[in-house]
Amino acid sequence: MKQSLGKIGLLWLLVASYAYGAQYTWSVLKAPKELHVGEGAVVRYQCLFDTSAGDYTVVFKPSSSQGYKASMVTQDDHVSNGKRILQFDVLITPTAAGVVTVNLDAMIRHTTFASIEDASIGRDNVRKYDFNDEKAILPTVKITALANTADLSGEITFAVQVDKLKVRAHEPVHLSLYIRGRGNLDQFVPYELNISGVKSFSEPAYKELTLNEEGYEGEIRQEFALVADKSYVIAPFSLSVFDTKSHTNKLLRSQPISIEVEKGYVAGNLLDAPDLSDKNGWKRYGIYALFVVLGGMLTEASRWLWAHRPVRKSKMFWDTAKTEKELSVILSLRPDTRYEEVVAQLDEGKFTLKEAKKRLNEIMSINGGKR
Amino acid sequence: MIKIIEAIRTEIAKVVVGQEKMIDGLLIGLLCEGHILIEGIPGLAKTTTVKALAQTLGLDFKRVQFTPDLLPSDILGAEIYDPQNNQFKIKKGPIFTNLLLSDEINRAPAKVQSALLEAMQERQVTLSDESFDLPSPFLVMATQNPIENEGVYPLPEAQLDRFMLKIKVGYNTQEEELLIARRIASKSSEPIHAVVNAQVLKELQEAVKTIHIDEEVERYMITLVSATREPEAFGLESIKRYIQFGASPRVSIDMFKAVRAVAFLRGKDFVTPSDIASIVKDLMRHRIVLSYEAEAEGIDVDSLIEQLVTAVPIP
Repeated sequence: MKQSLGKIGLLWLLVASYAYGAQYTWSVLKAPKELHVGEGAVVRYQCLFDTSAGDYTVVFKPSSSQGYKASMVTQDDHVSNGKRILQFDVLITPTAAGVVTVNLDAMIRHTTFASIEDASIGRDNVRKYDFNDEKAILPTVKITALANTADLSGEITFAVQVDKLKVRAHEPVHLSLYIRGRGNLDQFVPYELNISGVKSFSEPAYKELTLNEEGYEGEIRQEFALVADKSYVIAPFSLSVFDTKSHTNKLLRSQPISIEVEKGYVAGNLLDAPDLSDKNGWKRYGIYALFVVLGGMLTEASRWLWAHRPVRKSKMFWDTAKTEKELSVILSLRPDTRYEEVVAQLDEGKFTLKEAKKRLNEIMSINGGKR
Repeated sequence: MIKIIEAIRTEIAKVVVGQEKMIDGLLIGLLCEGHILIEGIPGLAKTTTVKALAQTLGLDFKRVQFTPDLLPSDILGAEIYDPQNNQFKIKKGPIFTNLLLSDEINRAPAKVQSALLEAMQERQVTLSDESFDLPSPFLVMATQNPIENEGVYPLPEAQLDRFMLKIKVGYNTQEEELLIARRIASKSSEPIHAVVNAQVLKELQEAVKTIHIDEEVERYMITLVSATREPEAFGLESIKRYIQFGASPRVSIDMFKAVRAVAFLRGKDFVTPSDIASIVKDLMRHRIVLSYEAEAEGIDVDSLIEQLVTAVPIP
């Protein structure tokens, strides 16, 4: 009963809260007045409820528009003095010169009465959450975007590296390009490398960037493999950067790199390079021929040894006979008419055991040893 | 007497090349009035040899080709109605002959095979309610294909026991086969003449009976037959499990007859152990019933007989 009373009390409070609803106001706490194109800065929005507003959900997804790019950096949600306060830091980066008007909106979602009731009672055959949605227009922010033609803006460094300056023909040279720092690195357009007489292989640029209040920070790496059969020069890479610290334009430029390519190659520089030089050919074929001759000699020697192996006299089936009678019976058991002569001689007592066996051996040798 | 035997051999050799063991077996059967079963794959001149033997003997000869649809009355005969005389009369079958060639005997079903039992043992046939004696001599020479072949019915043990000898026919040698091929290709076989008649055959059979068997040799034969039943008594415990049933007393009876004929064919007037050894496999191989273990292990009955003979002390 006490539990039922508690549930009813809670339900009454929620119903009362819903009936009155909460009021909220959006404001801009921080916003830049002037930026260069490509230079990012944070605009801080705040949504202040007059209550703790536990039954409210704020959905704010800043979207880019013509003239600027908007990205959510951080958001904070807390209750202070019984009032709910939400703060959103949005990075605004102008993309075109002129006055940029930032108009953003958010969705205020108020949990419905039916949803609260369902949750309280424990109904399980209804949607878990149900909201009444209301679109909130955020205060307009105007930023003057100054012209800037640089490729990137921020505090950026630039480096180019090659692993070898001297290679043999068709041996690859690995070229690495590093762009590091912070700013609008997300706007980097990868380089395309075209050198006459050089085959260039590359992979998509590798970006390791994190978003913070000053824009994107981290490193972009682009790698190339260059293959040629003649010497060539890698032209300087250049990148124009607007330095947001000093508010000046800079041109980052690498040095031209000469790659010396020698003719031919050696096996040690290639994984699977065949030895095309013919200077050792006769040795190789000579060794092969030697093996063939040795193999032939070995085979012939084996055959000769097998043919001339000492032949042990094989035991004949009649060797078990110890008397003339036994031999006579053993021979008679065999369905072979060749033994009849010996059997007759044995029966008549004309053959001794030795003589009979000798005669049998003669018969076998005459008949080619067939038994 | 031996000249007559040689004449028979010569006549048979006009159409049959080689196969001396089979011819000897047939002659032994003839001399002892014992029925012969010849087993071999098709094409080894089994039927040809029996026909040739019948022709040399000048005896009445009939041949029955055993087939799966053969009936007992097709062999024995039957009582049939004679419409002219308005009465039943006996129509005798082909079994009423001196020499009956039962070709491929194991292709006929069991009831036909059984019909031969009485005739082979009692030498008489009962038709309707009357018994008829078969002519003398009466000899069944049956051929059969190995039981592994398709479409054959194995002969029951009782009927196998009625056959004095079971002769296994093997392939000819290469030289013999060459001669056969040449002879068939040139169609140069000579006609066979009858060199024996019933009277001479009777005399030969009587002569065989006069061949002497020493008492020790007689006992040796009985011991050999006993060894098939109790091989362990001769130190052959290992083969005991392969033999389900040993040879019957009928083997001893037939052995006493057959060894005389062997000695006779060898031109001797007494029997030696070698005569026994030369015929013992033909006498026993169809009368020893092997066990399942032997069949499972692929044990050959001939090799068992060979072990038995070598184990029994020779007199």
